[in-house]
Amino acid sequence: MIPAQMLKGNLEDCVLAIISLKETYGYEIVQKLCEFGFGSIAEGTIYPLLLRLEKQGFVKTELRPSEFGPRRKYYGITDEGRKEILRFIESFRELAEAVENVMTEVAGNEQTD
Amino acid sequence: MNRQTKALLKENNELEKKLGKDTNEILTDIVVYIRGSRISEYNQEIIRRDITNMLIEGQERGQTAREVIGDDYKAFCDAIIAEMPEMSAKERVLNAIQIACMCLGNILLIWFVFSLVRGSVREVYITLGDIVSGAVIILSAIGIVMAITKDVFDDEQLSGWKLFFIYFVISAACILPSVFIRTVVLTVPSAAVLIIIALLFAGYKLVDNI
Repeated sequence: MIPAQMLKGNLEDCVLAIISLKETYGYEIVQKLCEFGFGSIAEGTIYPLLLRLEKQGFVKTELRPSEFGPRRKYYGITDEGRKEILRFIESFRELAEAVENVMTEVAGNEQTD
Repeated sequence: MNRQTKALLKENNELEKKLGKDTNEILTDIVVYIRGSRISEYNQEIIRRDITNMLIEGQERGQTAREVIGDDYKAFCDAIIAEMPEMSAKERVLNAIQIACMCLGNILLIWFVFSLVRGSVREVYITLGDIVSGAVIILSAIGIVMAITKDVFDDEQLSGWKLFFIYFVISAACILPSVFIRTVVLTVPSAAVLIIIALLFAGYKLVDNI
């Protein structure tokens, strides 16, 4: 299970990345996150993130009929959202590389000891 | 409340009927908490619609409200409130005017009725006690609403005798000044009071439709 603190900074952009794959809705995003290995995340956890993404202009929303009766809110990516994903990929790769460097050093030291 | 917000409110009231009793109670708590925020009425209804739809779909899948929303309802609401824009200055002013119209209208109506009960039909005698009682009623009402909205998820909510005692003290503070402080500070013709009440309620409706 990924610790909540680690998840916090990256979940929003991962949600945006999922939306960039195709127009989607809350529950489908949660299912996708689970498929990608994020574990079980409640829809209520991502709803505020979706509001933030909408506020920042990274996603646009549309209500469409659903098989369950009430209209369902679909989220689609905007041009600004696509730019944000590119920014995230770049900065995340930098972070991953930095963390990897530290881990390699630590693993090397432990083997020497 | 504008037409758009009213339509959304009506839609949400209908949607809520699709929820089971337990889920509906949780939604009510969430809505009450959000009502206490500085979000505009329209945005409150947008959030209410989204959450209601989320819960209805979850219910259809056999999920409980806790499974759909998560364990901490208060944290969920706080996260939402943090992402929504606060009311604009114009909205805040209109809101304050509306509350003022409603409070003053109701207080004047109470004074008018009390005057009739005391046998004065043509004139309304406003005593110092009436003014003190009126102020206590308004402040208590605001305080009670704030307490209800803020403490809705509090596990240690007041109940039983403690709650009864608090309501007893507030009720006494609202009524006793009017009963015991009888110095008349203002005498107003009943017709004028009725006109002012009508104007205040018209003002309330007018602002409500903006």
